[in-house]
Amino acid sequence: MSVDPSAARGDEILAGPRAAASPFSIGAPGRAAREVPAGPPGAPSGHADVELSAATWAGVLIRGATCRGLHHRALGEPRQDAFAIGHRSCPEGGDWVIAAVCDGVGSLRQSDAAATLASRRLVDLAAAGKPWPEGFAHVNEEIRAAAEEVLRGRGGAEPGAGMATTAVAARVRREEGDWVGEVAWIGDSTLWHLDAGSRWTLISGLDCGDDGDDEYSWSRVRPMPSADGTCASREFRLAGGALFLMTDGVANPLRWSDDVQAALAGWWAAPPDPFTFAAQVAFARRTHIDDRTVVGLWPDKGDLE
Amino acid sequence: MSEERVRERSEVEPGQIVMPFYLVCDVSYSMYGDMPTLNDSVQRLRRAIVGEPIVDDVAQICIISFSDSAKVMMPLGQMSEQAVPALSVEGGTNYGEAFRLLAQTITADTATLKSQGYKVYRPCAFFLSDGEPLDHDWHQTFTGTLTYDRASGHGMKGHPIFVPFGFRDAPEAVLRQLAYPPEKGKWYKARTATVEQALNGIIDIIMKTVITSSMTVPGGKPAVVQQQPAPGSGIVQGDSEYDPDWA
Repeated sequence: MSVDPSAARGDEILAGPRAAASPFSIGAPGRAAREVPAGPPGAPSGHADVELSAATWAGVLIRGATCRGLHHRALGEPRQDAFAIGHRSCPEGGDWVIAAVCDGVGSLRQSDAAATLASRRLVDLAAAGKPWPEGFAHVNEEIRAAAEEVLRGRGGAEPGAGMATTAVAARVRREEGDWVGEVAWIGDSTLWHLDAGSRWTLISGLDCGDDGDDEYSWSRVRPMPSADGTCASREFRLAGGALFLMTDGVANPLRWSDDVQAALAGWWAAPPDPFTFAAQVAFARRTHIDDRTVVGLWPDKGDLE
Repeated sequence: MSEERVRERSEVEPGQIVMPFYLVCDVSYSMYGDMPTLNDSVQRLRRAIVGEPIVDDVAQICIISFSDSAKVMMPLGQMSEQAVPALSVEGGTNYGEAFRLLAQTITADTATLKSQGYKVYRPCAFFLSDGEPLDHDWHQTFTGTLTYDRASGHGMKGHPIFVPFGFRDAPEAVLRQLAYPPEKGKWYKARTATVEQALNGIIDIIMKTVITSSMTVPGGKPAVVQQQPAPGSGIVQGDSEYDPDWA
């Protein structure tokens, strides 16, 4: 997808002090962004609406942000997306950035825990040297065990008890100005490359069926825990630009709209400060009110940035 | 910041999600004394949707009336951007006219929305009638216009989820045939003392169905979630018994 970043629209939204939407919007923000109030403190306690991280490692500048969507806010439910960032140094293989982004399945009440667990464990296992297929299989069993524990416990009697999550994870390093790495995924969380010409390219596959049956749209995602714990994966070498792991809360409007491609290409041609990045990840757009999570990787140009 | 900057843009923005709902209302002679109640009920439905910004963003509503003929009273659109017209009583009870117009309208609306880049989910049609159909071939017309035979590929592939509501003289045997598709269709019949009670209960079910269904869209598993009648409402619900060969 090639876009013109000059077409980016980043209007501020006029929302009252009781609302909690991002001040950024792409296109019409929708009534939800302007009118849904922040609402009461949500359960579980300590589960923040927004988490963000900034880091640099081995020539890579990293921004990560996960934001509770207006949909969960309106229902009084917690954010079910999560991300994790780590690194690995090996004498023979160089220095790697490792990142994972997960999207808990909304119909299961404990999926926020699944997303948090999966993102952290995938990164930990990769940092310890596990290849992605082994790491995904391992985490698949850990989530299965956690889900079974929920169902055995008090939560099992509640409607919708259980947990599941999608995941995309990548290990990446800089090599002669290129991005070199391997991405693995299950479900519809994805890795994208934004090149110097403002073109967005999907690097991972899209393990879902959301383009419908020629009549209407629908959505079907294969999350984990799955029966066999397998993931899809591919190696890549990409010239220039930046990489973005993201959940479908961002990837869907990106795939479906030239305006969104242009706006995000304009905003993320260079790394924003981490706080601005989080607000941009949560951009308002009518009917797109799911949780949003992005980990962005840019070349670290040092103090010249 | 000026109001101008924050006003909703009216132009189409590709990738936006739409869940369409069609409200098909019987305005035949037998509804003569009940039109104020019906109109009040529809206004109450409007207020409920407009009061939920997430629902109002996602749901688009169309109102069709029918008697001897059928007409689109309010075209498909966002409820907060339209005034709901007053429905008035007309002629007899011809179901077939409603079925034909509903099928045509859904087909045209879906094509328009998709050509504009919207992501459109399968529509839901709420059909309200107080009487028996006067057209004897109503079942044949229903099967020919609003159903789809997956095996042969014949019929309306983009059929709606059709939810019939009956009160007063609407026969249950007819309602059972109209709930579609068979694997998930539900019918409702009000056995209340008054039409006012019936319409209030029916609109409550429609309101909850629109709100609950629209709230499934952002979570990634869009579905029409047909609601149970409230306890004590006098409304009964049943599963579809649609049979293409029913006579």
